[in-house]
Amino acid sequence: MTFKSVIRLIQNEGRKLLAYRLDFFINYLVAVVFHFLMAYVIWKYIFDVNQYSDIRGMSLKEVLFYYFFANNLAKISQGEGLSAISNEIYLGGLNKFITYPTNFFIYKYITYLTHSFIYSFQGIFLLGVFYLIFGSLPIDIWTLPYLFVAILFSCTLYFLMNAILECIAFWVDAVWSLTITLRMLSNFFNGALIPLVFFPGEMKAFILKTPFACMIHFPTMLVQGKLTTTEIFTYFTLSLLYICLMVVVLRFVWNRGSRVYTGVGI
Amino acid sequence: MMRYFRLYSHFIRFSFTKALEFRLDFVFRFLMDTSFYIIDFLFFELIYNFTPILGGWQKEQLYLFIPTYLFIDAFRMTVVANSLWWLPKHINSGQIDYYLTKPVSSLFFLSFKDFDFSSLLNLFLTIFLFGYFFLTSTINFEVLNIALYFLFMINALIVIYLIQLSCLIPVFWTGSPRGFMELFHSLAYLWERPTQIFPYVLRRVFYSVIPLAMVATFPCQVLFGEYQVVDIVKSLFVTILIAFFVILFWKLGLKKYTSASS
Repeated sequence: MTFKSVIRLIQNEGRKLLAYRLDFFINYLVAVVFHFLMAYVIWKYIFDVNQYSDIRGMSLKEVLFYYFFANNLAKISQGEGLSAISNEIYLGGLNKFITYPTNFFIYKYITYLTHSFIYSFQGIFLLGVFYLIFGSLPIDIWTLPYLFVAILFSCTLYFLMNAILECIAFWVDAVWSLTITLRMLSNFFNGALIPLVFFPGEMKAFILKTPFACMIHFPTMLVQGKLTTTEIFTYFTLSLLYICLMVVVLRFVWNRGSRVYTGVGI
Repeated sequence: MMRYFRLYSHFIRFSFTKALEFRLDFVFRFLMDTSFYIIDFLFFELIYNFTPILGGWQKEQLYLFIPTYLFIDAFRMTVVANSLWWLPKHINSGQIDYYLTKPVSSLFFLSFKDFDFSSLLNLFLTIFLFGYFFLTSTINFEVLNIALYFLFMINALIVIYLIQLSCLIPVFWTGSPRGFMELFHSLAYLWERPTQIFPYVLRRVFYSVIPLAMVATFPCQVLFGEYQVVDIVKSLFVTILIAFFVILFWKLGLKKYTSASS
């Protein structure tokens, strides 16, 4: 794809996403605010009732910021891409990608990142709201350049995981429930539902080695300045390794699936 | 009334035939809902590592609260979720015309026409979970409270249906593809936690204006005997009031509906 067509694609996706502005804002803002409200209520209750000053090295404010950032990031990295690939397979939409000089996955990846990019503006707006309410942002400013790369990796990992599952649509009639399962499992194991530092020892040690840890836990701990240089390097390496592995798996599934694709839809 | 029962039995028969077309979807849906249940239990298990009580409830009580809201959700998924999923599409494509011309309530038709057999298995699973935690519980339950618990479970099913419907009706005005379903899913996080953990003002809101507490917290409070008679009357009154407003909202939506161009 040429640079010009990439820009045009981003513009089109942006327009499409903003066509239903009210939905767009409500669906993002409400989801993040409600998740945060839930976390605030539960952890405030736990801190107050048990008179904790911190839990596993995290004060209440740090826990709250963790949830705030993690929920924004979950929304940004998981985008709007549900069924974007499987629908093309079911409806025979792949035909146009076969005949046009466009790589299907690059096309889908750019549209996916466009959603994440536009969502991130709402995330920045909400960060401002958090600052106004709590008076400060527990952010380590020096980690911001790394954060950008970590978020890009997070989006890529989720896109690839989702794409692999959606490619099962070549063989199976309905895969949406699989993508929902992925979203639920990933939100638990990536630390969006509960910070991974609160998990028991062995379970935590295992999850930290999975790609899920690179999606929310890593960027969120990074921005809070809670990771050493070695840990940052380890997570980047782990993310890259999993991305490479998933690209290989995706290519395999895609090549096998393309052979059974009939082009007429269902 | 008999006509509606007959019609509903037809809906079930057609849905069963449809479900047999997508057999693997049974497995995937079961997998999806089971993961959801495991995650919920794990979530509270982790929370109880840091506190002995949550919203005044001990772990044993919470393990009855979890299957309660899982049952409500599984019931919603089985009975109305599939039909309501199509509602925005029907509104946007003008297909409501077909239902408006039928000699039955269009809302009934659009809400119950698609019975989801693949979620039925999960419904049984939630009943099993509740039964297990109920029978192994050390709490002394009163017969009256158990009877009232089942009454308020029915109330909860009505409330959750009304909440989902009110998140979809705005499609008449916005023309969006999914309505405010994201809002609905976010609300789920609120009713899946004991309402007692919220600050006083929010608690009042969740027991009255936006009756999220009615979904799972209040039936469990009734089961544990944590209620007064006046609470029961208030809760039923709130459901009737909310039903009135949602039906009014639906009628306003239908007035706004302009067939294919809406």
